[in-house]
Amino acid sequence: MKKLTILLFAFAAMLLCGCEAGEVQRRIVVHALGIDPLGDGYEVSYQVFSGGTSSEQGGPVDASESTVVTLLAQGRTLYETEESLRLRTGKEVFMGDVELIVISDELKDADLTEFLRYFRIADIYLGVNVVYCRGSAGDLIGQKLNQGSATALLLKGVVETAIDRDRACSSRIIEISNTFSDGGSAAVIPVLSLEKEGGKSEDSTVTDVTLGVFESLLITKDGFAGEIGEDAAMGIRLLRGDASEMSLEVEAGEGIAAVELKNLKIKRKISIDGGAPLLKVAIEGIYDVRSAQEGVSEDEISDAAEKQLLYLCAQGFEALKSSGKDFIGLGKLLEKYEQGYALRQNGDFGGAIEGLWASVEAKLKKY
Amino acid sequence: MRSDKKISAGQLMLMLFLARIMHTMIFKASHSASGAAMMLGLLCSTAVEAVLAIPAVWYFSAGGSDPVKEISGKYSSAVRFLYSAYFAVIAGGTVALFAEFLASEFSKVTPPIVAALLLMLAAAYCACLGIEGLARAATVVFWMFAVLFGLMAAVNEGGFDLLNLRPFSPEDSGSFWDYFTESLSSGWWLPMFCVLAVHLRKGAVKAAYGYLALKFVTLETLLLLVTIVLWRYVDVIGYPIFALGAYAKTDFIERFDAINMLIWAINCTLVLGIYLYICSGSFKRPKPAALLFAAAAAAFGIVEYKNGLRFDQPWFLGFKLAGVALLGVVLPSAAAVKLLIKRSAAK
Repeated sequence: MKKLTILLFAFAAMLLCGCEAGEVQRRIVVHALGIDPLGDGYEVSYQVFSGGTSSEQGGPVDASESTVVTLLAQGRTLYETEESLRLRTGKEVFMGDVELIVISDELKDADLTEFLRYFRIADIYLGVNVVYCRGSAGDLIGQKLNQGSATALLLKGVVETAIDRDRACSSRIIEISNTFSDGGSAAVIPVLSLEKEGGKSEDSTVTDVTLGVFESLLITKDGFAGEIGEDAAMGIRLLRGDASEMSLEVEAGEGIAAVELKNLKIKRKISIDGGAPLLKVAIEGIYDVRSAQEGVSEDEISDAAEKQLLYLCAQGFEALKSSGKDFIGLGKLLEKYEQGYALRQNGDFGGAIEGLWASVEAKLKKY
Repeated sequence: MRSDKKISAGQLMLMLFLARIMHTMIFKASHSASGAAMMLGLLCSTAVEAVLAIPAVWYFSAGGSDPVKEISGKYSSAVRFLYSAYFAVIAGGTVALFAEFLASEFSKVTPPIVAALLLMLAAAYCACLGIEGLARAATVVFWMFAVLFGLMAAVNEGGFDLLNLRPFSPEDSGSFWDYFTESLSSGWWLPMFCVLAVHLRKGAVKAAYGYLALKFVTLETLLLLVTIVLWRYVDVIGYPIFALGAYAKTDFIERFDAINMLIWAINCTLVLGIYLYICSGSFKRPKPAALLFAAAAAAFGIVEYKNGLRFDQPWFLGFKLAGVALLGVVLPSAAAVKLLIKRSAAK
């Protein structure tokens, strides 16, 4: 009996071996997705590692830049493009390793909830950022840049740096999905742009394009709701209360100074004042002077940095009022502080935004 | 029923906890509710369970050995069969929900029915090992679960949005009552306690109230994380603990899905083993009885799964609540009263 039990366990252990050596090679491991419109459907660019000799033989996958290739597939739905890729390559498409999803701005009016549903079914990690780009997403993914090939990691790095430095809003799949679940809300989605640098030499080893996030699109469940610049995106981060560090260039006195803001603590409260909601935002933090022109005093820098924060908030507030969409969590604030008023709005906070006032205070201390 | 005292209060507490957490693992959220309403529902249902547990806990603390024998005398076999039948249905429901979970999250791996049959076979083997084996395994599985849960919570990539934790409002009362009823109907630990405490060396109070405290803290933590980190996305994924893992990663663990699956499968086997042990423990030949109940529970579970019957449907809620009330509260209350009368007469 004992021998039989041991044999059974040994057999079960053999089943636990999982992949045989070659199984990885029967899969296409996708690292970035670029989605473009094509007629009534889509053209999707799948950035994948092409593999190498060692991986063909069961060794580790060669993930160096030289092995990055972009495969194109067309279909009426995203699922159909994936199926098309599967049929053309004879391999399973594995999406669990996707690092970034880039959508062409030509699709800004398309139903993003459909895309989100597909991302969930395709088993893409919830923490992956979704961004838009100007022009073709496929071109962007396959671009040669100053920094090197536009690999998923590089693109992801550019987007995450902009988000970490509070110059754009985070746009993870889970965040967009949750935003759409709260009625009337809009997601602020960064736009990844290629910019031409003027005056470069014609040396073939130097490319004249760089990559960055300089603007964002406001997207609701019903589609496009507006676009905003970098200042307004920074203001939205402040009004949302989720900014933590920023680098600013401020005009202080007769000169210019570069300051780094850290440990920003933002308190938000809302009350009903004269029948209209009044949003109070108090920003506190510390600053460090990175560089300053001669003759600029500490007091002038501190004042200028505080004024700059107020300016950014004003930009964000203006974007909020002009779009009429709640992308700063106004509905949730009202539900917390003014429940009766929130209930009367019945989930639609367009009227509340129309009558909204804001009062912002900023106080910075030297690091 | 074998009545030798073999397990400690801590072991019993962990067995009850794993059975409850199994239910949470495979419970699919079918509707949105505000976090505050659910958290309040859990608080109230736990308070009610604490009161309902008094008769059974008092009976064992006062030196009672077996409430079924106490109350039914020579008809105890018939009453024990009620327990067996109740837990066979609970085991069947667990298998059905686990199969549904497999079908929805791991559709490409193993056919759910095959997995359910294999799990039931393994569970029957576990049941045959006896209460000591099950209790020791429960300690190991509990720590596996605790480490996984702690790790998923610690490395979760979501930010905390405290605004999601909006105050309880009259609009939330419907969600509150739904969650309260669902939580209370998952209180089959009371009948489990009545059967398994027979093997308890000492510490009935510690086992029962330790379980309630552990369950309360774990589930409130889960509800809090779901509310302030994951928010409505739990409705999309469906399984709260699975959703917690779906938004967590470390440098060396890219995805928690496979680890979740492994620990859930192990826990499911153990918990089914405990149910089958309860089903078969009162029979003269427990091993063939365990296999028989395993077959019955698997058949019931597969029929339930194939026909889309759910644990949270009204008839099932009623069945579970009736079992909790009759086998977990009324019967031990009667046994406690009889013991009290016997003691008074002896004095």
